[in-house]
Amino acid sequence: MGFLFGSTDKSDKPKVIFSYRGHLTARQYDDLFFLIESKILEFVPKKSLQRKIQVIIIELLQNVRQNMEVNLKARVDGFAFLDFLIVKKGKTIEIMCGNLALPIEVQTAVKRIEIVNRLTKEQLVQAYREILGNGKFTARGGAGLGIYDVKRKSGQNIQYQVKPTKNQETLFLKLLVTVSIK
Amino acid sequence: MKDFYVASTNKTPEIKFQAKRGELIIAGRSVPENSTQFYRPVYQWLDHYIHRPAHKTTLKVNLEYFNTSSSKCLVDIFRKLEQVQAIGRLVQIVWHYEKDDEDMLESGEDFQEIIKVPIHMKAVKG
Repeated sequence: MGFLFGSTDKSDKPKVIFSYRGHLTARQYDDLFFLIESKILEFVPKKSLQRKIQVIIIELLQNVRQNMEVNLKARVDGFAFLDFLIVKKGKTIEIMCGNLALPIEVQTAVKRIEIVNRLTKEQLVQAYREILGNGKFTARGGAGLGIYDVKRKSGQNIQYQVKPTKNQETLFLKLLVTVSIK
Repeated sequence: MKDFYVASTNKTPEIKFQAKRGELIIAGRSVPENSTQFYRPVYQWLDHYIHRPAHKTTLKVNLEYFNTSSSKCLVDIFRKLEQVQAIGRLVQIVWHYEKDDEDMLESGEDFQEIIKVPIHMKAVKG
């Protein structure tokens, strides 16, 4: 388990590359996109890895924008609508994307993550290609492939945590993606 | 038939379709939030092109990276080219990827698996 979820491994001092807590309007998404890109270029040396990480981040943020109710309050019970963090730790980049969401949205997301995490590499490619070729978009214009792509590009299972808030209408869903930059 | 051109932005690719020459190019990045909205005019142009295609059509795809919703739009574009191929015209897709970019290579292979038009993989220097 990585640093962001409370590992006690202190062998490589983690460095926060980027952090953001706030809402995620279209304007804020645009600003984040450009800020994060500049940080990735600064901290990740290889172009193909820069692109890999950039795409993973885009999928995570667009997943929030497209699959979650974005008209929630900016903060609930100490949780920001979006809590986004990128940390470099040795030869890995850890990306934490947490957001407030309705329980039904969290349920759907968790179900999908668990399905994707159970897939072997070959099964993942097969499932990805089936969805890619099915000609269907989600109701909000997504491909239904984001989580599949994140696991495929990172080569790792997606870790997640669900935290309750005092406001019982929302939960906080936190995803962690680890990418090797060797 | 008029050619089609859209300049690139930081999130969307350059699209340059030349009807008479049958040369179609998509180049840059493709990560719009609403990919279907961005690609709708492209579909519309292709819907006309299908009826009067060049003898040979080559689509060159040279993308740095793209989001998953763009990948589905690319499938839709490639399927329109399948229609051109179905009427007996020559069609090919050239998928450019940088030599050390395995993700882009794999993406091209994904499309090869599901699209009937030949997709040629072309490694380019990064």
